Amino acid sequence: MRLPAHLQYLYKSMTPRYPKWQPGDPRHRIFFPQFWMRIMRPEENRSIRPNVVRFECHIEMTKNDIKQYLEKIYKVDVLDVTTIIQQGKENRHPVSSEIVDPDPDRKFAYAFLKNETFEYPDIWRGRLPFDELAKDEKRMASVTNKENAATIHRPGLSNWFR
Amino acid sequence: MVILHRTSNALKWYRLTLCRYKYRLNHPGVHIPHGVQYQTPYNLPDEYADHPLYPPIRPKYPPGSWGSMDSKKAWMHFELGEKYYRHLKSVKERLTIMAYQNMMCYYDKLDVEQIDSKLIWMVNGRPRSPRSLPFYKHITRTHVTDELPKFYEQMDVESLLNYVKPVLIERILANEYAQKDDIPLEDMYDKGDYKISSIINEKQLKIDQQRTTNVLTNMIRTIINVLAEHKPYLRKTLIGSDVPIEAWWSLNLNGEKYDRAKWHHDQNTTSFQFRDKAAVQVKTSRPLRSIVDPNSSLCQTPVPLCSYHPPAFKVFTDRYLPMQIPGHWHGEGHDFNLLSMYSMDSIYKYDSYFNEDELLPSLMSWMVNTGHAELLAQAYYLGFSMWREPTYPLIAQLVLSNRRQWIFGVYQLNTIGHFKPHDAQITSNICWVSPLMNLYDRIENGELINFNDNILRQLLRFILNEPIMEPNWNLTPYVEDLTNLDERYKKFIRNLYEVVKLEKQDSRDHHRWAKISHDTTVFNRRYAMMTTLFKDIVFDNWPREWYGRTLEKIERKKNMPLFKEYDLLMPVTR
Repeated sequence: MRLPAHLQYLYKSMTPRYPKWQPGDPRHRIFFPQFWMRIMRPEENRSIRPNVVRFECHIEMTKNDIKQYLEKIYKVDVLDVTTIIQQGKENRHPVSSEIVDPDPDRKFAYAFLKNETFEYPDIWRGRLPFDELAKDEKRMASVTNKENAATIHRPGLSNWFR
Repeated sequence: MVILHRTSNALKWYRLTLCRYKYRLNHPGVHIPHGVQYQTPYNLPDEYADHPLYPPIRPKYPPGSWGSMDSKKAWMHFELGEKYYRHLKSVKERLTIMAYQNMMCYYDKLDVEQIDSKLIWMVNGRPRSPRSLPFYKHITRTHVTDELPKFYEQMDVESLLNYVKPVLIERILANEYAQKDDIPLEDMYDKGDYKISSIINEKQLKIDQQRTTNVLTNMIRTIINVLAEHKPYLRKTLIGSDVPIEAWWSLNLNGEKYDRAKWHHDQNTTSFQFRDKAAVQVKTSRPLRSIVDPNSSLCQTPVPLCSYHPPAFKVFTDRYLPMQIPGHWHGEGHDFNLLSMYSMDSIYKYDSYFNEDELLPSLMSWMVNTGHAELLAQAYYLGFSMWREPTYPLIAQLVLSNRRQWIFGVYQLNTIGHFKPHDAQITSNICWVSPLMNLYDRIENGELINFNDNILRQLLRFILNEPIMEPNWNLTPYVEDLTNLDERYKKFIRNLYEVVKLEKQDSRDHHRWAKISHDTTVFNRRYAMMTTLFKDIVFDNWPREWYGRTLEKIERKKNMPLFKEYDLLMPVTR
């Protein structure tokens, strides 16, 4: 089977633009919007109430969209939805300090369920592998960044040569 | 071999001639990490005595219950309270200090752009998140009972009800029909083809609230005018509509970690500011009778903790000057509430109406919020504060209404010292709430369908609940009877500048001109520098009022405690 050239998870890939609606326009009827939501672990040191679930969702979803999504597709009664948009990190060029390839903004939703409670499952049995891995990755990235920064004006020249 | 000991002359020689410039003793302008050093005289005085006098050993904790609070911190709080009451005699002074404590900048830096308070959690009467009652119970230390106290049922109001009822119905209908909607000009000439629903709802809500305020005011004024003939205490009441209610308090975190809105005296506390408007308020100059003994088992049960952060209940921070306003200004008299009514039209807004089942808990938390806030502010006006608990319970009678639906509540405030940890706090506040009732179902042909008398009965009982006219205890035990209040307050304000002017009254930074960088203004920096450099000349020649505070401190060699910006150890008035 042939896969598209830039295969990504749905939540990472661009979705088609949600057409802008302005007062006076006819009502939108979109039958298969590429909306997605995924359950996220609550933030550290920020415990949330047992019947609140934290989602990451498509950034253009409104509170009403989120509510409809959960109620119509998953048949979950939702009392209230809160959303917050987290600004993506601006990655700066090591030398010229202009913003290069910024991370996209992300939208998080806190859905307050009417009847159910939800606790994020303890997948890693108390030990998070992420911490050390992430640290390692960060260290590696910083090293390569430094190397790149040192030789950025001499492309094609290997590091050991200088 | 040269031994470079602290006392050796070799060290001095080394520091004067050989070492790096940075460490040379006579090198003028470069930072040397220690402060000014004075040479110790060779002949030390004999300080030994045959019978040494030691200060008394003080107990680990100050008087009062402090629970698991750190003992040093407990002493700090205790002394803060002592100082607060020793030096600030009038309520106005205490409230001023309370407000300036929470400022972002110091008094010498007060500037138009810098007048800013620290972050405070802003609480409104209306809860905006479903099932938030445990949170509001926790932050106000309140127990909630879902029925009104029994003694109201023993009051007989039948004859009065029959007399008042037709008048009140007439008032309600008159307000419904005769009141003309205030249509703004742009709407009057609007074609009406498209209207944004949220804006329309917003406008409608404002109209509804105004109407509710009018109806409630008319009803209350009517009832009180009718009753005043036979009830002398009602003749002296003060009735206000659209009354501001504000209250500030600090709450212990009980081991939670909040990253914001800490109270600056204690990192383990946050502060809350309540802000709302009452539709109608009736005030008297005498307290209501207490309902439950504060020493009873109900009040002694601790309120369960709620360990979630305020943003989980859509309570967010803002910068605001801490204020206590129970509905009137300090000094107006009429310090006690007889009745407060709030318009609850906004409970049906999209962000606070979730479900029919969630309505009553939301209204309960509204009741808890408002009752606690107005009584807290009232307690501050009576001279109590977080450091001095109220000596007698304070009562509020509350009504929430949107003309059609009514809910009644009674609040008894026993404690306001929420800054103490959970295990130290033994008393808690109580709130009684009635079920939600309909006054009428709808209005048809100039008639109220299914009119409910019970609501009028309850309203009359609230008004007929007579305050204690001659209380046999002191209502304001912590307020001194001062005659020259205005003059004293003027003096206090003038001295406030003196007290708060320098943020660090005499820190060692003032002795090192190389290190004084960013903490004070240019004037204070120069002044401290110059006076310190030429202190001999200054001491000998200049009058005291010229060289001021800084040098007085040097003279006394007395270090000021560090944890505060202003200092009340210095007497405020001479």
